Amino acid sequence: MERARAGDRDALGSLLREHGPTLYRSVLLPRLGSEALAKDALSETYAKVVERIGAFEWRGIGFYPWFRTLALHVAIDMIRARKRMVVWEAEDVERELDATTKKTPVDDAISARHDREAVREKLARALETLNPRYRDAIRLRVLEERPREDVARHLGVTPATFDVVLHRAVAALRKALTP
Amino acid sequence: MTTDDANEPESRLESDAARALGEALDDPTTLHEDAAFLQAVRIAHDPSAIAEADHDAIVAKALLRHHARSRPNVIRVSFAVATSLAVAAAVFFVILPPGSSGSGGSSGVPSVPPAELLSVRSTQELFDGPFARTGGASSRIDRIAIARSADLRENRFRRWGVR
Repeated sequence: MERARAGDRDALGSLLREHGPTLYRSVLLPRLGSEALAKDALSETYAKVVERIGAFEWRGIGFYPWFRTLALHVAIDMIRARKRMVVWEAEDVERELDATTKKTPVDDAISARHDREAVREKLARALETLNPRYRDAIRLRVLEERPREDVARHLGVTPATFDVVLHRAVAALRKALTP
Repeated sequence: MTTDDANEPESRLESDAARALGEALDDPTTLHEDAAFLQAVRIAHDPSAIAEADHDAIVAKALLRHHARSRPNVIRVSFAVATSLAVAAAVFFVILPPGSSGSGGSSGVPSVPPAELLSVRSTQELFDGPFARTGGASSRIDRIAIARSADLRENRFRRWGVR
């Protein structure tokens, strides 16, 4: 860490390689919902690290929490720019940022697991509020990626009717996810 | 639309929108808001790891930026050294012209009245406009060095009375 702060490229590269994939999978990708966006966000986050690493202050909590905070700021800006195509609202991620500054620092792996679980729980809570047909439509077609015809058969409707069910399920889920 | 409208008959508009969503889900290249939203839901539920090659490329790009940010100090030092050498050489030939040791032209060059010499001046006239934010430093240094070498040569010739 000290070598990276002093401008050692190899040390900085090691930090990014060690922590970057976790940040991508646990923080950026679940919140941005698109691999292309998440990679752009990761690249921007790295640019901020390069810019600010000299000012990083070791407070006994490691590099990852600081890294994660930078990434959440980048994610918030991207979410604001793509409101209708992402699952989360910018306000949700801002609340996460606020919570980060108050929580006790944790190990990277624990932090990453909490991040992924938090996203899944939020999604699960929203799905629970839906009409069971809508919930099944999203669970089977989207989460389990089953073919349209299979899901229609499972629900006892024609594929055309299933399209309508799914269309309504999307509207309902968007409403359930709005804070 | 509420969560209790599951059994409501659909309108023509809704039917068309639903079909478009179904088609977009089967064709990821189609740009469709709701399809992108559902894709985001799926990814949020089960995010995949980044491919190592993709991550390596992103790291490499960041480190290149890091290198570019630290290079300006090297370029400033090189520019300062090159300019100082050019100035020192020009001053040397003004203060200590060739054959001025007092031996009366021991170099064999006839003594001539001092010619008007080129003086050291700003390098701004060598460039057409503002510099790009990154890159081009080496070529600018080369251009300055070539111009100042030509000045030095010209001053030497003038000092010697050569036209």
